[in-house]
Amino acid sequence: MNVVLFVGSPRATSNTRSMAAFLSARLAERDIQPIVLDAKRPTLDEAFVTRSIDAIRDADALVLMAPVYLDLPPHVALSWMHAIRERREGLGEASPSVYAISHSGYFEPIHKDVSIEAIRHFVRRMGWGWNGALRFGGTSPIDGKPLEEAGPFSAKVRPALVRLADLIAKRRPIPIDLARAASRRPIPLPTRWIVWLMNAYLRSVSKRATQR
Amino acid sequence: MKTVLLTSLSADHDPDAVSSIERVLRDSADDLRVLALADTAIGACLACGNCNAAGRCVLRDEMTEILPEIASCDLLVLATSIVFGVHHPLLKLAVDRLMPLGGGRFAVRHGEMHHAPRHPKRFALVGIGLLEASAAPGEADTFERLIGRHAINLACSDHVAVVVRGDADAKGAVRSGLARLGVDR
Repeated sequence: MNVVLFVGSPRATSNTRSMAAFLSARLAERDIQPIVLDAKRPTLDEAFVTRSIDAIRDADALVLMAPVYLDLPPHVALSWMHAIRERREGLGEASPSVYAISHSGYFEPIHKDVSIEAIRHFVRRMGWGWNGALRFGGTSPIDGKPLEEAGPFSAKVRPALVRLADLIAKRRPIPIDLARAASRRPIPLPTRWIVWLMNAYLRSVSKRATQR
Repeated sequence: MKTVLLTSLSADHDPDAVSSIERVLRDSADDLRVLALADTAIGACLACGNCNAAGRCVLRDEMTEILPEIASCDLLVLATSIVFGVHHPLLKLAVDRLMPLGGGRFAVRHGEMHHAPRHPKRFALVGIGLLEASAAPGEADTFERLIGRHAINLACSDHVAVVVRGDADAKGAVRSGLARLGVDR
């Protein structure tokens, strides 16, 4: 089975990359060696697009993973979708089933909704199959670490990705219970409290920096 | 009224639509700043986080220069062709660079967690999207939702999304959008 993971983050220390590494390892446990297309940079280059086209041509499943910057995937991820559509003739009869992963530091799933809608429109335009999406919130503290070392902020992410690996291997869509479980906030506190705690933490960091 | 237009539209799109959009904005603004992204190379957001920490973008280009204008404007207009229901990647390049408008602290808006705005001035947001003839069902709705989400994220005073379909009257659509905000002349 050919699986392609697209990592649509420009960051050097990318949480999307941490998720892709974790998912790759879980897929490998199921005898699937995915091809990882990691944008890594803020802008696209032609070689990366060509490599993407070559990989997707034979893909049975494509996992499109990206953070959310101001309600949408970052420029590099949107550009990639745009470039793939522009060069769809090069894809031949490719028709991968697509899974999407959208994540951000904000806890509420609504922050990811338009991003997922855009990816879904892209998939529809390409004529590919849609196998659903996972939304993860509160991921900023992962800070590019391996998910196994990221403590409570990856606690919802890890089991969801294990189940996703299973679903990919079985060529099944994401069920609603998994989509809901993934989008639950990692810390079960009301938004007001979380904001208060975050600001208190940021104030203490800045106070310590000033004292130094 | 001070207006800033960030546009990824160019003469490659319907030239009548593009020029009439700018004309309507010129008519309604005392001071119009335009960043035409098809003609101006700006850098892509590096996601370095300096804007959150220090309130400044590390990149130095025309987007850096126009950011203070946006922070003090009355109306921010985003004009784009609608691709997959959202901005053209060229406009997204500029939208990603709006992140310094958010401060390093958090706030609750609309019951959601957001960055607290860094500047006191609240601007209204207008999203103008030219819908491709090949657009899939629902892309216009997604664009309207996107502009609504941007308005919450950027702590805007008000917002309106104008979707121009095919050869529809772009001038009339933009005028009526501005009228909905009460800024048409």
